[in-house]
Amino acid sequence: MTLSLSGTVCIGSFTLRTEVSAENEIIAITGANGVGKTTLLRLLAGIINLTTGSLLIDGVTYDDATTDIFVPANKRGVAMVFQNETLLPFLSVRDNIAFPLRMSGMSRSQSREVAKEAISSHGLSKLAYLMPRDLSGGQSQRVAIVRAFISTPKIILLDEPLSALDENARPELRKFLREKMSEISGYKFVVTHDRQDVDQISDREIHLN
Amino acid sequence: MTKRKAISRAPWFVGVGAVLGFIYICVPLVGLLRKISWSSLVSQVSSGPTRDALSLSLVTSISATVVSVFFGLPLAWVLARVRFRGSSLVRALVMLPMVLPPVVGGVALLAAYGKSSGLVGALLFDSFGLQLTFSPIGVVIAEAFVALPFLVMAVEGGLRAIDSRYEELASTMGANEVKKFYLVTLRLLRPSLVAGIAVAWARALGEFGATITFAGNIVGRTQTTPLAVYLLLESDPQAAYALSFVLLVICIGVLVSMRDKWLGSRR
Repeated sequence: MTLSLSGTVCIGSFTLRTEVSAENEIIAITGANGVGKTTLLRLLAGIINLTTGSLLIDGVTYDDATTDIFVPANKRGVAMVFQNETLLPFLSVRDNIAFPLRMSGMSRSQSREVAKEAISSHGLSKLAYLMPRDLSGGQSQRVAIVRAFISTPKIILLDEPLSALDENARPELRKFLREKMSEISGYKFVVTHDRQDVDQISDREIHLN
Repeated sequence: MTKRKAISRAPWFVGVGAVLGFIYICVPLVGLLRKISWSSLVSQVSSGPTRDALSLSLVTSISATVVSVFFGLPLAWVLARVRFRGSSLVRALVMLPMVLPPVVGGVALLAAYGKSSGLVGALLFDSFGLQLTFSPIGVVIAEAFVALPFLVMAVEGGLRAIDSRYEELASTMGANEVKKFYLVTLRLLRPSLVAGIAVAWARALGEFGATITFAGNIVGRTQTTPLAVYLLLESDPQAAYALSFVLLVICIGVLVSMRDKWLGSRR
């Protein structure tokens, strides 16, 4: 089980040259602002494609600039969490969590049932019918994390998941994140600026420069 | 609070100008209301010819709005999101009917869809016996021609304001292009789309110049309410005032339904 990415992405005048190989592990991606951390995540997610090079996951080609093979985001089994506004603003907490399930072909009622179970097993029952705008920063990140793991993705991409939170809200959510990530096997990437995230969440660090 | 302060601080000449401007808009409305004979309003509006004009207007303007959405949504999408050479020229052409004198639009439509010598119209008539001019379909074509840019403008603005990260997220959650569009893009676009539909519909409902030029003024067939109002003013002024009042009420309804967007009474 390996993921190997090697190649370049050019977006306008910006070029990211990258070489990443991962196993079933949690990798922290660090580096200065503008170095291309988010671009790397978008590349892994299938939102953008490689300009040169290729991405192989478990021996399958997901992106290859020379043969034009490209597996789009909706077929990759990925889950993303941004630093804020990860939840769809027009869906309740329950329907946000049900969304990936519905997209995978589950019926509306069944996906809602599964979402409600996940909500209560994470102690979030009070939030089930609230809209994202009614949640605190910590609550919405928690919901976003529950949603990210609901359909057991193969690739988890977290883009500074804790950086919009208060200093004192971070440790608890960091612990929650670590627990969720160790529950499933797959390729897990966390972009962060925080030393504590690197030390406490990740198995390994990739520093971009 | 801050708003009230700003108004109270307006210099006197600005205040006078604003009041005069407001009066300028209101006087005709008051004049119209004064002319209406309220006791016979219902009977005038529901009498044969006026009722026909109203129902024709309703059907054609709604159809024209549907056509505008059908063409306008994809056009707005391309203009807002696809970078291509000549995009500003395409936008200018799409927006042209908004500033073009409607009668010129009608003449252009005749030149294109006229049955004897129109660019496309002659072919349609010769091959299928289809005549678009002087028919209710012609009314819809004329109304949609002038209404379409209003929809495109509202929707393009809305599309530009959408945070594209939500759509990317939807893809990562397994939504294909179609589901992403229907469940996320369209949902985020709803306020702009509703606003666009409202102005496009109001524009279609009030269309006069292009309609009379292209579709004519056949009672019960192509005579829409604005055309009927204009002609009734000669023969039956009371009915003209009554019909105008109905149009006024509908348009106020449109404004009220869009108060979030334009009047900012909420938020």
